[in-house]
Amino acid sequence: MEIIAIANQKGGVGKTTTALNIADALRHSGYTVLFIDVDPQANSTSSYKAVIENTYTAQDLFEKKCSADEAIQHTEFGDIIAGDPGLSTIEMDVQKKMGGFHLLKKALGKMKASYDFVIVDTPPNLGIYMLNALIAADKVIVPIKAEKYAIDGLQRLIETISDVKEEENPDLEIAGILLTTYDKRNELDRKLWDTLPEVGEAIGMPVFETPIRISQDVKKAQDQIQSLFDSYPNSNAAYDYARVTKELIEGDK
Amino acid sequence: MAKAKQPSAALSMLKQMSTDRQKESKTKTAAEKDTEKTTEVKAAVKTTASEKAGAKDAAADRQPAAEKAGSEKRAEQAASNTDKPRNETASPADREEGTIDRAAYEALIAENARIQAEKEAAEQRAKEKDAEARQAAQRAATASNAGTYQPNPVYAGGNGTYLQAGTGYGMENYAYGENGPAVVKPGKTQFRNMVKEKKNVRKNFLLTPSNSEHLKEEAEDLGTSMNDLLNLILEDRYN
Repeated sequence: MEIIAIANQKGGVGKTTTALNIADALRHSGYTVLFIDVDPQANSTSSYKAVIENTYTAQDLFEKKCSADEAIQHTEFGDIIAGDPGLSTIEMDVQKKMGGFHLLKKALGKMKASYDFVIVDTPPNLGIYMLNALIAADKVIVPIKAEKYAIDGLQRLIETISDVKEEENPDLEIAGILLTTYDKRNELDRKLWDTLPEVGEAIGMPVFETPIRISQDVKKAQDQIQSLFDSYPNSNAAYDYARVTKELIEGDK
Repeated sequence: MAKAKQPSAALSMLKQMSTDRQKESKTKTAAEKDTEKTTEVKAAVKTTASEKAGAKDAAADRQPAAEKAGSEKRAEQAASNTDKPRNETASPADREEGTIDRAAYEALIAENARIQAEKEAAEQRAKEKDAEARQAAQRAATASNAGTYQPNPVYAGGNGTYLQAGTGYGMENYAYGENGPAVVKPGKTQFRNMVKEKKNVRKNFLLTPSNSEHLKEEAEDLGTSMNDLLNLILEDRYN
């Protein structure tokens, strides 16, 4: 079982979209995937058509009210541990708890159900849930958007990842920086894409060879609560996510 | 002629990955089988060797003096067992060790099992209670929502029925009910015009068979799909 966290403390960089589509691509390639939504916004949970009422969610998992196996919901899009807006209200309690940073790792360690991949969607801050995801993960993907402050924010994330590697999870591997919503007609996007390999080298992070091109089909699929690969398989974004997934798997070999 | 549907490059890639994975796992299974076979053969060889050794030992044991000594020992053991109370008949190893109080040990195990069972039962009760509370909350929420459903006034005219279409001011497709506009279906003539328009648009963009063949050849030369090539051409054309 390989645990992949999708992390960046910046919001709106395509974390949820990336997490959903990589999970979907892995599923289309025949792998078994568990999706964990630890973002209180719970957008992935909506995309999976999972429920948060009268069932165990990630909140219950962090409150130790249930096991990971009990929190898994089987939906038409795959298995998910649903996110919950209540996660934000218990954040301080989880932080104060003894071993609060290792809750996700412990829960997944005890999980009886077996999956090839576990994809963890994280919230846009360097809080307890992101740290839980980084401590539990084997790999981390860092999506960035082509914009002015994209690189600036990376520095803090790198420091956090380094700290986690040093103190808690020495096996944590950075799968790569992934450029999302890439529009080659935009000069800034082109510049960023051209300089990204150098930036990656300078900060010690690999860069995915495929950028995710901007595509309206992603928004349409999300709006229709459909899988991108089922509803718009010919879109540029579907092709790009398939290639990124291929890179990810080939990186393992 | 209907245009043949192009397979998606993304799905083809994922399918290929799946096939590769299956092939890999098959190869792995074959390798594992080979290892198993080797282990079995090795085990068989070992067994034969140990059987041979066992036969030699058995031959040695057949000596009458040793047999006599063995039967005497067995008789002594049986006598000592009948002297002890039933719960104290420990295994030979325990007796030899002479340090384990079997009865106390079994009592401890029983006590642990009882504590574990009680703990599990308490956990189960807590879970059931939690589930009941959730269900009660859900029932309460459902009850509080009962009877408050309102049909969408924009699409259903406020009373769940379609209304008559209005006329003039470009509002043919809308009608006003008590609570606002309601969408109605376009008329027959309008629908026909729309279809006609759509067909014209489609005709303008249709590829001739010769073009299509040419495009296919080009795509094959470039090692990509016709669809991707078309996308590239369109992108270059409009960017």
